[in-house]
Amino acid sequence: MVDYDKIQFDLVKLLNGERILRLTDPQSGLSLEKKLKASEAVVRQKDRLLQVFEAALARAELIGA
Amino acid sequence: MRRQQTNFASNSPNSCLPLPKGNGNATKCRSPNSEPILTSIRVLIRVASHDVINTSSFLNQRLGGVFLIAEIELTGERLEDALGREAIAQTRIVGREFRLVIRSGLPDAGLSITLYHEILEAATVASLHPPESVCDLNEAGFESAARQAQQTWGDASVENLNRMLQFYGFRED
Repeated sequence: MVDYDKIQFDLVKLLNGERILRLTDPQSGLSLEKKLKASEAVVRQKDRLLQVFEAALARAELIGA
Repeated sequence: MRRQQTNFASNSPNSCLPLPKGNGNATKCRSPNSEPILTSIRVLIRVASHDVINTSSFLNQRLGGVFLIAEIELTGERLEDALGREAIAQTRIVGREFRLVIRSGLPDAGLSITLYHEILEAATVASLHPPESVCDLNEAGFESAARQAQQTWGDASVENLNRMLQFYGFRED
């Protein structure tokens, strides 16, 4: 499990009102972003993205990326 | 976040009006048929009613007891995301620190609502276990909460952002 406080979260508000959530691990440079669905709760979308991010980070560490 | 231009502006050029000094400004605004004192009062009212948000007042202030705005910038540069899509704001969250970049030129009410929105959503994302009151908010929900905050407490300030965070259940751990 990654240290939550070390993940960089970027919330980007686009001109058209859409919202991007980007997660970055500064140490490895791994970054994952998603356009948030307007109709779904932000917290649930963040939690799902965080799970995918943690899995990707673990895999990256495993293969020594 | 990419920025295409190089000109930075620490604040919107239209968001700060000088306070009237002595009779100088009053004289400029005086109409031929009005008394000087009334004109001065009108100038003061006009300046007071123009809501000015001083973004530097947010710097390094505690929000919700645990969060901190480490950086806030109004920029005249074009903001873009990684795919070149135009953006109006970006909030970076690392731990409990927020770094905000907002496109300048928004009217003060728009800037204020944007600040309420960014801070509430940032606090939610920054929290591993956010309060239940924000757990079901989607983008429209955050925008609605920000507009409600603007209506209830007025322009965004450190005090008002704290009121909003407290209202939604953010407490110091």
